[in-house]
Amino acid sequence: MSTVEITGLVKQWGDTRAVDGVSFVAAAGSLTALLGPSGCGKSTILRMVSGLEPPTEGHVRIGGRDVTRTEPAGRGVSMVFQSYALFPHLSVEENIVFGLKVRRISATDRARRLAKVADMVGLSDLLDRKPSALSGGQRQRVALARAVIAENDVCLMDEPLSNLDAKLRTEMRTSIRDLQRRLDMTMIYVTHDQTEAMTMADQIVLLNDGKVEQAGTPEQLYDAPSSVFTAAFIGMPPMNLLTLERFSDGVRVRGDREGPALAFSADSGWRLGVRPEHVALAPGSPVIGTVAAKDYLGADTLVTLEVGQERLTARIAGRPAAAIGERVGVQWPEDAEYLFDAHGRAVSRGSRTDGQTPVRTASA
Amino acid sequence: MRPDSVRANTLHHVYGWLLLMPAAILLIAFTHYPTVATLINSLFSKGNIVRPSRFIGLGNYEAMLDDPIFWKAFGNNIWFAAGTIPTSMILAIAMALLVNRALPGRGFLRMAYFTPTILPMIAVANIWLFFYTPEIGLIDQILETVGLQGKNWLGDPDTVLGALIVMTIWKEAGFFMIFYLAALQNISPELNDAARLEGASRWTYFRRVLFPLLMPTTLFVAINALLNSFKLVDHLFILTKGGPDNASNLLLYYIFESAFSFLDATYAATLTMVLLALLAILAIGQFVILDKRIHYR
Repeated sequence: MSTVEITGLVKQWGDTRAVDGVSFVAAAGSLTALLGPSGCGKSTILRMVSGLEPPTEGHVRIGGRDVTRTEPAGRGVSMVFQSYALFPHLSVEENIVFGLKVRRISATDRARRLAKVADMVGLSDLLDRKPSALSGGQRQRVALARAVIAENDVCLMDEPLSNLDAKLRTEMRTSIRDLQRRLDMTMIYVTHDQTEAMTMADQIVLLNDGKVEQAGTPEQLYDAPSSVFTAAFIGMPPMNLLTLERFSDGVRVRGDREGPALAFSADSGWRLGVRPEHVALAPGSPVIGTVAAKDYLGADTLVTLEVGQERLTARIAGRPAAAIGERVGVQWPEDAEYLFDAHGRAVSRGSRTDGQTPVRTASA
Repeated sequence: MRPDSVRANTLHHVYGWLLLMPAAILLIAFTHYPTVATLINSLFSKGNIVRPSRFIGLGNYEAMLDDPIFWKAFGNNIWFAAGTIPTSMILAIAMALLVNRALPGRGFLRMAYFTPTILPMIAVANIWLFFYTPEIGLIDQILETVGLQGKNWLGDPDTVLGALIVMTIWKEAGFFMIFYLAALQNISPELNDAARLEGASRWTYFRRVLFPLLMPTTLFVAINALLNSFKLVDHLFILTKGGPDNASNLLLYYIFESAFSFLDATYAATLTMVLLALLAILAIGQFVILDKRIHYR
């Protein structure tokens, strides 16, 4: 059981800092997702943890041991690559035991471990196939088996599911999580898909532009986003962020002259956040929105509404009657409101403030 | 079938043949016909005004087997092939691996390695003639400064073939490097990452992963190198004319000599057929032996 500890990690190429002082701890036996848009440095962090890329600054500790300058093979980590990195000329079996052979593990030991791992990932019948004769999901399993057979405590995954179709992805999500729990591995999992991070991770490290934007459990990131970036990244669909405008008699959603003033004080340019599932269509509500679009998803419908100059999405159960172009009353509970200042930092959340003493919840 | 579908079918055939025709004409006129004509030629005696050429069956082939110069040239060619092919291929892989990495001046290095290839063989031969010239040549001058005795590299039967082999390697290795470089660029660097994580040394990675993946290229290069070693002739005109005492005579140059110096076209045709058969056997052999061990993507 190994904790992975990363402190002040920096990677600089020329003038660009791809990774800019990232620190986090991946607890032993937990799954940490490195989440962020493409180009945020998450894969580079993973490569620095694996040792494939030397960091410009900072330290990597695995199981308490500083491995910042240790060769990849000496760190006790396995890795699954986005392209799977299977050796195309070797059979499934040879691919899986490649590392064991390199480390001169005896043939009987190899056979025993291979049988166990192949059974675990469901590849027992495909061992003599070449990777080119496998489907995407099967190749993924081979890569997984190769990572698992090394019996390392730490497993790194670089967008392992991004080449699979949606159905397979859901399946593999479950089986990877299962495997990680069963083998008690410390897993660091890079993804740009917030659904993957939310469903699988014990801890999410959300990255933006080479820095940690926010780290915490999926629930913490969802319930208490410390910034507009987190609020907009987590959630499907993401949180509605309505730009506010200050009028002489109070604050309203930008351009919404007719509606009632909101009962908190804020400056122009601040943003109000409301999750789509908290927005309801309410005939009597003084806030009026125009239905701009309806996306029917089966169990519920996403209704896009125009309020003033802002758009917001409401997740409504079933099939709402409101037609496109219709003006409807919109409301959301006060305790579902989030307020972000002009810099995008969270100011308050949960309960509507009286305008004087905003409840600070931002951990940043 | 209905009549109009028959017509459509015929049109289809005509269309297909028309598409094939340009390539077929070129192939027949410049490859198939000359081959057959050479074969027929090789079965006739050398003619002159007094005695016209007549059919002698395998007479030319029998004469060839008794011809010491043929055996000399044949032997030379084997040594030439054995001396150039493995070395130039190993060098090519080594250079390709070197310039495939990120290193400063990589583009310049790639170009430098490739330069010998873009030079015409005649120019190359002239450069090397300057290297090999006794007394005033580059090699002898260098030897002299360190106090060693120079020698007539191209004039000595013991060194002339070696001198040609060195020059040919210099010329060919860069050419083959390009193929290896192209193949290396197609191999995902993640394979190297994966091997490094498993603790594979560079040599293990090369032996177990890179080299097997380069096998299609190796087959292609090997066949090309083999053909080249039997086809190379231009440098002999400049450097040695096959001498001294046929010590650097190669099959193709001997064919040229037979046809245009000795004006024995039918004997040249005989030698040509032998060379052709030899190359065909070698190429087929390489395919059959290597193909089974090659992984194609």
